[in-house]
Amino acid sequence: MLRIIWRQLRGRAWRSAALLAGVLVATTGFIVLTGATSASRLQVTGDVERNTRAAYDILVRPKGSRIVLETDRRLVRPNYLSGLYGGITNAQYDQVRRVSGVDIAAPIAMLGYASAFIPTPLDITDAVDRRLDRQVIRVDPTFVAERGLSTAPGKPQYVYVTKHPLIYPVFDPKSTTRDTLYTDGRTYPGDECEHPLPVREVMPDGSSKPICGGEFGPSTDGRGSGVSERDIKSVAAVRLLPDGRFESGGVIQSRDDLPEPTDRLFLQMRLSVPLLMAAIDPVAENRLVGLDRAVTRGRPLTADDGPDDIPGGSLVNRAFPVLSSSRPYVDGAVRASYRRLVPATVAGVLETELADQLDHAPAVPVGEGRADLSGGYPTVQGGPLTTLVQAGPAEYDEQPGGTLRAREFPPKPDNPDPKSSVEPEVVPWLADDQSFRPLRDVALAKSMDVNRIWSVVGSFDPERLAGFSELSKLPLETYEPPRAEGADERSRQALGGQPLEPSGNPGGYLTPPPLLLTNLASVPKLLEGGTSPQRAAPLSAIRVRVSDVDGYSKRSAERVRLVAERIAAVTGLDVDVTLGSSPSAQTVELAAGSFGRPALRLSEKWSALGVASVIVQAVDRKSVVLFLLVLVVCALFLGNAVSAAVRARTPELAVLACLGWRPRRIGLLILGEVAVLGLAAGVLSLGLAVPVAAVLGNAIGWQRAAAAVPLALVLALAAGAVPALRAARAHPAAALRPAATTVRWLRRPRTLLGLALVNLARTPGRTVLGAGALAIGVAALTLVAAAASVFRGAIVGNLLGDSVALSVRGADAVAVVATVLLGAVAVADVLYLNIRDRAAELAALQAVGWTEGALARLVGYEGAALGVLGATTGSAAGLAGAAWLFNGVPGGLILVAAITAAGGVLAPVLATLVPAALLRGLPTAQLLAEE
Amino acid sequence: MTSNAGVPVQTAGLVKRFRSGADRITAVDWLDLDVPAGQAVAVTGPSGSGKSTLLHLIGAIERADGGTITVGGKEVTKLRRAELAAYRRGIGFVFQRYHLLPALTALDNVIVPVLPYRGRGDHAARARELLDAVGLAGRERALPAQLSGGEQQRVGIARALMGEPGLLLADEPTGNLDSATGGQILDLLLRLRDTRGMTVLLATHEQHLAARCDRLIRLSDGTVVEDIDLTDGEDPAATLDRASRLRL
Repeated sequence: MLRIIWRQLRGRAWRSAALLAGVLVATTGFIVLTGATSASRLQVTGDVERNTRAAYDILVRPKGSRIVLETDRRLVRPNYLSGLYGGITNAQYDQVRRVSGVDIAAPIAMLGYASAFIPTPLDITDAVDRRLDRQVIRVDPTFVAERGLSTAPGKPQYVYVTKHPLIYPVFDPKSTTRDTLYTDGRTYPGDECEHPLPVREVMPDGSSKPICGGEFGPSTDGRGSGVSERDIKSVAAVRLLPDGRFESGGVIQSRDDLPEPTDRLFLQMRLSVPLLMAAIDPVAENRLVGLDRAVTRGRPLTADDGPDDIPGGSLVNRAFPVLSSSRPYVDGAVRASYRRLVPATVAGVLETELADQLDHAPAVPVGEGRADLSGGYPTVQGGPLTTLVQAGPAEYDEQPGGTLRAREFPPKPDNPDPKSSVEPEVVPWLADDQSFRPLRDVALAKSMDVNRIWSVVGSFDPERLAGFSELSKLPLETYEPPRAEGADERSRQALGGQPLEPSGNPGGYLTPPPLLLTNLASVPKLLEGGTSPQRAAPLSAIRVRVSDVDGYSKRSAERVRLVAERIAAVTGLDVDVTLGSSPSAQTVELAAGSFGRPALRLSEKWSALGVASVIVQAVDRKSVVLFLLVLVVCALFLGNAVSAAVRARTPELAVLACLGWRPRRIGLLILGEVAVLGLAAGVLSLGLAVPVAAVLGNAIGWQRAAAAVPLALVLALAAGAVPALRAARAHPAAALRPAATTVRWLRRPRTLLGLALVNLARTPGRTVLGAGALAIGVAALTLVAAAASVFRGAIVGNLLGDSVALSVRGADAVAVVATVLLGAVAVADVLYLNIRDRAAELAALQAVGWTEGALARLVGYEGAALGVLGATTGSAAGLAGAAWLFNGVPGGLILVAAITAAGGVLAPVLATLVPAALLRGLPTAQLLAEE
Repeated sequence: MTSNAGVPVQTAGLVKRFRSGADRITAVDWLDLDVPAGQAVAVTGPSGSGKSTLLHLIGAIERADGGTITVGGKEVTKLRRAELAAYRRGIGFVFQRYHLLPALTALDNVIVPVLPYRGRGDHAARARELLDAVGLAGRERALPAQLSGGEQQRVGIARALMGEPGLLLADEPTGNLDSATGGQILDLLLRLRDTRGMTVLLATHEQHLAARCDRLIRLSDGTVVEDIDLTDGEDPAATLDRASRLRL
């Protein structure tokens, strides 16, 4: 029998080779593609109970930035951004933006705390005794924060009030300090005091003496860590005018530009407050939270704003544009007691010496005053940018019962490069307090000729940002000020029933939201030449809003999950789904502070993620189905071919039956032929799959490749089973039956197309198999194309109550194209078989005068009709599938279905060219003589 | 050649060779023939003598390896592929095995030659006319499988007449029929020749049928070995009988 099988295959060598090629392509394709079934999947666990949507649906953070609590309890701490200084590159941001389904991708780069000196003017008018010619008002400040729980006394400040006239140094770039021009038109030495260019008091005898004033503090420890504002003393000079008003000033621009007298006398204290600075993309931020619409003063920040260089002598001030928050969200104040004394001598005494004398001079209490940070904050228009202080994330020890205890860190900033600091700065008094965050100083520039500053272009009101009014419902907002309530009676009492707010301590437990926003375009110049490791990967987080998501629904959630999955796959960053997140109170214990604040138990609003996001490797079932379709279509194609071969050999098989072959043996003969073909294709596929997969970058092992042999064998046997069974059951008389059946229901073809339809109807099984093979491919193509275009990469819908997403991967597209092409080949094969079976008819048509063109058109019409049948069926099935999955028919879906249907028709029509070419070599005379 | 007026047929030095494995067979060997318009010529000879090949060459189903064929003054051997189809539509060809399309009715089979070509008037009416002429009135809707051999051949003849040919080539038209039916088919062909004035070339190996033609040409090894005029007044059967005896 093997010899007969071999001779049969050799006798139809070309046909055998074609069938072998079909099995080989399908098997190799399947083996190679199945190497890509395993895909990264973002798996979400948990049920979302709240119908909430923050300004964004997905939070993208640097790899490894999730803390254990987030992973274990799905909790995101408030102001999660505050401890994140970069980690995402601009290239990764571009990748995120390009992910299909991303509507808005708003990046934010947390830069650190910049310094600001906020005026806290103390009104000392009532402390002045207007009867006295000369007096000193001593102000003893107390710095207050954290609802008054943290307090620290500051060094005394002195205001010397005299009725004698004052003369002021005039700014003159030509004069030297030694010969300084004053407002009386004369020159005096400007270096008689420790501070240059002092104001001078005119004595009754017409002479004048300097009032050595200004701010001064202790020498620093050389670490560059700055001087606490608590340790700063100051002496100021004020003239009490005859009309009861006050005149005070410093260096003035011209002799005519005398200080404007005021009715009230203020001690101009300034509090050093760290303001968190961040860089954003103004366009994205405007879209995400409506930042431009929240601007209350000045103008919005634009993407094109860049640092302005303002010349100032030998030094260039490089002003970085910022949009500042109109609210400081910092709880701080200065409380002061006033005393008055009559000094012995003031004019001509060096300021440190003067301060020492005044410290010990007897004084009488004359009142008290207070100034809050919030009063002076709006007047701040800029500040220095020599160093940024970066506070890391808070860390916790979990206590029994779930309470979190915030860990303590050394209070002083850990300066990695002391030499890089330009000069010691005045640091907030609370910087010496207990720290709950690791601190790091980042020097911005070493250049001595460029002075970096931040400069306000406008102010925005965070409470006007989108969604701000519903803070309790929308956690995870970027600009939400953190507030923590007392969690027990003792803490509530200590806080006076008010919530704890951020203090001026950059290492404090509560950190304010970003209050200074610059644009991303300024970041490279800001970090240029500095020590920040953030230069390479400046972005701290990307907040993503997904398109076509309105509120929470299962479908929205699946859509968001899918986009998150894609972002994770493309960037490798930590991705969290924030849709459906809700506030979750956490109890946090804070150790007592260094300035009197007792230990507190606080209830803090954290964000509970609706779902936990985990990236897992999982089998993509949809891909497996698509890959299986390749085999199914191949089986249909092969089944058709074997059926035709059996039909063509009916006389021969009938002869074998007449010669006494048992039906089973005849069936085995057919099966044997396809089995040999399948085996050969399998062995060839085994050799091909590994290198082909390697070339396509989808490496597979030999073990997987070995599956090609049984697969090809099973495929061939499955395709050959029905024809073999039919051959086995065939009666010898079958040989006498005509090859093609007649069609009663389709008569009177008036056109070539009509005749083509008749011809197709004559072999209904073959036609259905060919069209079916094509339909399967086109259906898959329609679904995949719809997912890729109409649904922006994925159809998200409900299937049997579950939310599912049909997303498209490269391997899927390959499988679908392969399926469509195999379907087209199946159609071409049907036409080939038709031509072969009806060769004599075609020869007769040629003999009665049909041109080759007319015959080709006939075959072409048959191909087109098969294409239309298969493609429209497939397209309709794909359309129905997509509509069922999506529960609707978007307009674009119909267009996609129409396009795939047209493509589905075109592919077999093109494939028809091969069988149509056979018509040219039709041996007409021989065929007419043979039948 | 579509007016049914007979056309003359001439061949000169006609050669056709086939390859059969390693052998080359000369089917038609320097054959010269001159058939006047309207003549009914029987082409006879043993199997393999070249009868069918000659008709295939004249019908442009085969291409000659040498020589010329002129039909109605047109040199067929010089026609290009595209012109050949038009030429074939202008002649009628009747096959031994009918070669009807099994899925089409008798009427549709008659229409088939002109199916791809529009603007030829009412094809169905003409096809009905032709079926009527071949004696198949009322059988228009019958499928080939429902027709007898003789009826199928009549459909084949009607189909051959669809193009109003000036030349009808019939290759063993009675070969698959019993002698009575074969006689009827020949009657039909000759009657049609008489009414329509066509030239008829009839390949047959049945002498009694050949005897009813105007002329008999006997082929052997692809060349004319005998050319007898059967219209010289003598009983054609007797003429043939005498010719057979002479050949023996």
